Amino acid sequence: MPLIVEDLSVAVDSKRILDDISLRVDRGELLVIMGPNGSGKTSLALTIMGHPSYRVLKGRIIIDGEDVTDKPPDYRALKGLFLLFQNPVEIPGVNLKSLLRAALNKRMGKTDLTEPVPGLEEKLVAEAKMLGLSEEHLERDINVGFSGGEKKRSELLQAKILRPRYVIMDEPDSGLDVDGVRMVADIIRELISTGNAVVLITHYPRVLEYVEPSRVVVIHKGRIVATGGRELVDKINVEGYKWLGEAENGGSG
Amino acid sequence: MRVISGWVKPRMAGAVELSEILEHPEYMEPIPYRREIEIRGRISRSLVEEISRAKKEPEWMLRLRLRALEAFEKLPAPKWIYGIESIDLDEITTYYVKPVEKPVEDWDQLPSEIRSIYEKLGLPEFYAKYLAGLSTVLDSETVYSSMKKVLEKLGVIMIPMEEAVRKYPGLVKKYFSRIYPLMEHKFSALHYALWSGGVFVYVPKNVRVPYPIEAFFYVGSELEGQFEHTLIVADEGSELTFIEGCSAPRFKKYSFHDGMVELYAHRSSRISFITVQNWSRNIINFNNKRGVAEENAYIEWLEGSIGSKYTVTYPSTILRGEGSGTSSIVVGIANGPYIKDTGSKVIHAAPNTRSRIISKSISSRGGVNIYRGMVQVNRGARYSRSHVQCDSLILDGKSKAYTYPIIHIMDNTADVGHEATTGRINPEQLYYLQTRGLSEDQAKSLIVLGYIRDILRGLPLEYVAMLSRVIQLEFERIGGVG
Amino acid sequence: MIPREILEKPYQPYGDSPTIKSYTLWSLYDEYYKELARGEIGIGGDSPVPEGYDVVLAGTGIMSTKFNVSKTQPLGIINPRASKPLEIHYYLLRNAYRLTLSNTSIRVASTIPDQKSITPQHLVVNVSGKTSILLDILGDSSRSLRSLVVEVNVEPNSILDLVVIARDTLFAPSLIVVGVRGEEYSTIKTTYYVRPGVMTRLEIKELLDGRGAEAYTRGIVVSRNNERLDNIVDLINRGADTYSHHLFTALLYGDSIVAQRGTGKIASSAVNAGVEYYSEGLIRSPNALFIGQPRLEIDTGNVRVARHAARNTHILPEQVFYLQTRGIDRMRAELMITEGFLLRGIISRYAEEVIKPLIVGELRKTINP
Repeated sequence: MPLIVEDLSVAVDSKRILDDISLRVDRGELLVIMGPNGSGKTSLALTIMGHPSYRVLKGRIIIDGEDVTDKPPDYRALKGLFLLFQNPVEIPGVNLKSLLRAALNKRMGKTDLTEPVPGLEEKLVAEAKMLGLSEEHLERDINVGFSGGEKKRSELLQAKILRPRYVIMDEPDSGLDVDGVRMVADIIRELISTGNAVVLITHYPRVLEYVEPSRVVVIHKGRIVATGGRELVDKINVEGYKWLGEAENGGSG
Repeated sequence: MRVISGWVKPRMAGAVELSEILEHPEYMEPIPYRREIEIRGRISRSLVEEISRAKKEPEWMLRLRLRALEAFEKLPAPKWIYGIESIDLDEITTYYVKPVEKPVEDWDQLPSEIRSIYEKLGLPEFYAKYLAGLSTVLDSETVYSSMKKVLEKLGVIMIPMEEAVRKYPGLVKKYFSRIYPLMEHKFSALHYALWSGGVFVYVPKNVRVPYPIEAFFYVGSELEGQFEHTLIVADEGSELTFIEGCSAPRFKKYSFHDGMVELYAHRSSRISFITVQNWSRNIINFNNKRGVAEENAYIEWLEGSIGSKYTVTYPSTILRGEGSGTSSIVVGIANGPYIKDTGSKVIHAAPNTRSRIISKSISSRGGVNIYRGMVQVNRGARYSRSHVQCDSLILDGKSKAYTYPIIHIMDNTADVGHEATTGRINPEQLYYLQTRGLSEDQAKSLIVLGYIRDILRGLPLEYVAMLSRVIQLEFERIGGVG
Repeated sequence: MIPREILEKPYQPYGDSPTIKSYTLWSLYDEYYKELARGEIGIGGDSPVPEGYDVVLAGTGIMSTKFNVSKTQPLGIINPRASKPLEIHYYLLRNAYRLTLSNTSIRVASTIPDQKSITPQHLVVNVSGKTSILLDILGDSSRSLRSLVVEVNVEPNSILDLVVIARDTLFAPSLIVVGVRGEEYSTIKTTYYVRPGVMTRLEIKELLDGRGAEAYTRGIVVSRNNERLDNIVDLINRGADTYSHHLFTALLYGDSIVAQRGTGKIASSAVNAGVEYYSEGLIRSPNALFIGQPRLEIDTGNVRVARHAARNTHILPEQVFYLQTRGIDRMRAELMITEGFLLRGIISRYAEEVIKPLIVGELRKTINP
């Protein structure tokens, strides 16, 4: 069962930002999407997840055979899609624990989303600890005053608790130290080996030192400009993105 | 269930002295209620008529003055003003009727404080004499006369207000008192009854005045009255930067000042109005300033108050046209037993309007800074945005800073925020600078300058240089006192 | 009868601007005062005594099941001259009652008569040790003008957890004033939740006199229809090393008007004190009005922290989207964000337990009427 993106063209306001993007990722696979800053990687992730600002001009997004192009983000989430945000928004007054409680209750078809979820507490504490988050983080308002690394860890924690089938990770390793990058790699490996699919969006692929991609796609100016495997990663490691023509050497990493 | 006290039957009894029921009057809250300003003396109708006659004014202006006088008598005295207890009208009119041509007759009559600052600033003598009011024309600098020619060529009208009333009655009548209503408060009414002096500026359509006009050097004497009225009209698509006043200290003999500035920014025009006031410390200064911005127009205020005893001024903008904007930068320095009651007001009356207010104040040696501001978003002013940032620095234990903002939000798409902080100089910063060899006072003045420097961007360089020197001198004198 | 000179006074001696007059419906109070002055209405009247409370201020009387109540004099924390309604309160007041609480928890209710009248209620509380007070101000459909003043003195090193709940009446204006004075090293937590009535004036005054005293005030409001709230919170630091904090969040529906004003003050005697004062409004209707007027008065440069902010907030589309990506539908997402806005930053667990169900219930009503 795959996640399929078919001939997708997208605009924000009246500006076209993605053109004819087609992708496919099957369970058990790691699809890597690379590209310089501003190439449209994050826009693609947000569009797949159903962000209201991204208008689909043509094409389809299909999860497990169902066309979800017109479905709201929560519908897609319940279909097993998960987006790990590059820069998640702050929500004052809503803490991680109550968010996950609501999200799990929703998945179980409950109407009262504040109901306690049996076993959640213990599981959260254990997983948080493994990810390097304290119990105190679970009580804090989501992303309010979190450091870059804490935000990534909180996003990863949610991915682990909600058990999605298709995980889109937007720059999951930025802002993390070497141990953090290894941790991300471990989680990717674990997700794949348990039959889930991962779409890894990254500008500079540190994490790929530790995991092997199934396929690599390079996006530039909203279009797919190269498809391949490991060799593309190596090329970018050595040359950056200069070979794309326009001088666009991403300096970060 | 145990009932301790029974039900008390409703009954009426005589009044109980409040003092009797207060067991511990010392607990009473410490916020003192302000009293009304006491206004002594009167302004006679004949005085107003005399002023109008002497100025050979048209009938409508006389009627406006008399209406203002009537309003002045009716309107209540403000009771929210801090520090000013009374105003003597007789004193005002005495000076008014027999105006003193020059505040000082010769150099030696200037207060030694001001004289020494002029010396420290290293001003050329002709310049210092002009500032001191000893000479009324500044003809040594040819650059100003050549700029005058540039203005003439562009078709910009810039003449004394009184002349404008006679020369361009239609144009003046269209705007005069239409921006700042005379009924607004007691002192605006007083201003309209007695106004005299000021400048009228008209910038024609699509004319962009390339240099900031330092009005002080063109029409200095016109801006020096007690009740001067300045009116600036920027026609569609035009641009103007107008610098009123001068940061070097100025000696003024009158103790009461009640001036007014009206700005009208037509569609897509831009007016920057810059004031730095550094009058001698005997002045009660009311400065009424308001602008109206039409569609896509922009009004920028910079109001710096260094001198005077009390300053009460809140430059305000009414954003009447869609897409219009305004920014106000307000700087108050109260160094010594002086009060700066400043701030800014904005009314968002059209959709997609934006405003920004930045206020920075410094209180030291017993000085008091008050920020008073208002941002109002009217119903229907969709997607308007406003941000107010208000920082106060208090340099010692006996100085004060008060912040009184008001926000009225009547539209749920608006985005309005006010933030304020009050603090002291970080001792670590002071220490750091001292380790680099600066004295404590020098370090303080450096920090103060740094604190306001970022808001002085956009001003002419020489202007900033002069202002920086003035502020430095102001604070280096702290030593030994505070 | 109320002397003419009091009747003719302004609504409040300072800051009685035309705008305040217009949104506070001060004329409603005047209507009651004038009717009382003319003898058309009386003072107090029969009031209900609800179950489940330890002390009930019912009308101008008081009932208590397990605490000793005695008649007393007002403490003077609340200045009678701060407003006309307060001055009239003190003028009409015949009995103030005192409670002495130590290391305990108490539930107090206030009820007023159904008939048109003016009902002055005055409670003086002395607190020591660790004490929690729930003050439940019940409005229902009462037509009496409630004039309730509660003055609390918190002894040195004591902790007060005060929860004020006001569900005010739509049939009469009301004056609710809570003044707390903190002695040395006391801690005051005041959490209030208001569903305003036709005109509710709610004043909270935290007076930190003792060295090292701290006050944490948290105000929460849900207003709808034509409800009006004039909320005045003054934080007054007079002791050295004191600290006070206020966070106010209001959710506005309908044509409601919420004004949040007041002063965070550091007096010159309060060396090294701190004050923080924040008010936020979330306006959910095109016709509601939010007024923020947080004042800061700092009388000394020896200040630890002094900060305030007022703004209106929005439910950001990005926040809704984020929650949706976690599988929560749009409506629930908005509800969660709104609840978070109202419930965040409550530092008293007790207050959270009491107030949270009320807010959740109130919000559910809006979503599923």
